[in-house]
Amino acid sequence: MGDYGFRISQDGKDVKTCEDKECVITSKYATLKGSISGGGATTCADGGLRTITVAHNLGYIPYVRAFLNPTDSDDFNNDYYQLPIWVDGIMDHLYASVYVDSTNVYIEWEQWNGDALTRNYNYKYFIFLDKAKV
Amino acid sequence: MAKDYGAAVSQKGYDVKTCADRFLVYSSAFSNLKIFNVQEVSTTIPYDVGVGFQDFTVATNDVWTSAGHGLNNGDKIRISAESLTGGAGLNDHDIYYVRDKTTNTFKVSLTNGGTVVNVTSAGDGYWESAPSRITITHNLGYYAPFFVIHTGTSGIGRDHSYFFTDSAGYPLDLYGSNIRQYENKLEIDIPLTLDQYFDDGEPVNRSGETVYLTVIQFLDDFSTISARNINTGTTSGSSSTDYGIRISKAGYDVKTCTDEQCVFSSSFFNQIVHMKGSTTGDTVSHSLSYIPNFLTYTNFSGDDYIYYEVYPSVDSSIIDFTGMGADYTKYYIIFKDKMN
Repeated sequence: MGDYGFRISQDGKDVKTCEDKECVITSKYATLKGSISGGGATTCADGGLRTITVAHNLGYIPYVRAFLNPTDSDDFNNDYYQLPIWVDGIMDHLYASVYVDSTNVYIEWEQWNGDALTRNYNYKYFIFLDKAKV
Repeated sequence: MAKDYGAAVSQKGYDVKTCADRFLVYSSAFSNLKIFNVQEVSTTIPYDVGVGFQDFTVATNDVWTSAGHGLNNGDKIRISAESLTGGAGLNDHDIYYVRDKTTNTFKVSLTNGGTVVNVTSAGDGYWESAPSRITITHNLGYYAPFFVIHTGTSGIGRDHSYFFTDSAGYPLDLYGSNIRQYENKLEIDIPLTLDQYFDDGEPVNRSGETVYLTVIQFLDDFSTISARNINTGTTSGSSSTDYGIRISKAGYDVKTCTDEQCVFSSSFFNQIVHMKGSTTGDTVSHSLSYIPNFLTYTNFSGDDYIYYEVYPSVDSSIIDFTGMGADYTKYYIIFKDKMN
């Protein structure tokens, strides 16, 4: 079957002969379409559970990526980590995941640490139009 | 600063000539992740055929000895990860069918009732109930990024989806080496229990239930694309009117289809690839001066598959793999999207 539509090749690749994976974009394959992105800052008590709820109101279950940044942990860098996380450190333990229904995105985690301290976190999410449940 | 050429489309409300790279829907200067295939797969959560992990020895006559094993012919087991010592001819990846069982011994085959697996050196280890295994053959011929999203079971219901797991990492355990991307196929091992830690707080054995997964397979590989910045400006505008470009999927009217039915649309942001590649080092510099969205997979030396890796972290200058070691090859994609 003949190919049709449009394609744009990467720098240095011949658009007429390059492989599909060497294209910047091609109408042959969809790309993920970002709809909503956002984030914030919050805390989680030692042994507690924190849930961040974000409404997407798409009416179906979309694909979502989320990240967590523990800012004052003894065992984690002050960096962003992609979810899910299930790490038992020397002092800090962090279990985190992201799940979605047809209305909301839920970023949820629990932590406990050797000092019984409340920890601080930044979080970030990207909600896409693409469906997670096909 | 590098010169741009070719084509570029900005997000709605952003000046295509002056906006920062990360506000582009696409540009011929940067790649995008292309979706090769999206499919729903399902399988039955297995039943436990033993009691946790049980030790065994194996001899060169192919006989496994495991006192009081309780197995029946046809049961499926596997060798627990990294527990095998010796036992040439066996590995901790294959799923074995029990055959020729006695009270304390048995042999194994790769198919039910098939030829006995030949063991060429004595060994020992631990065996466990085999997971249910889903195999998706894509025949791409290289490692490619992928996502696995758990969308419920016949017992839990299907109102939620979970990215690479169903909870904080308790079994189902859909990340790590339970999901292996080979050059031509993706394998997903479904273990016995399905924890509903955040739903009801109690781990629940859901053997016999059907578990559903959405698998997103991308076309792109991890060949190196070096970091490149065309425009770091922030000039932007705002507009509620849709304009720009949209391309519908095959079979959908581009004027009337939903946005979700588009291959892409300038109404929505895109995960433009800033750089990608692989390394055995501890860090990779991204030169964005902000914290970007990223995606990582990993491969342990000698393994012929990669798996989703949650260990690395990212800040405004590097993606940090410190602690993983040089035995791991780290595959990364860094996007233009900004986190902070």
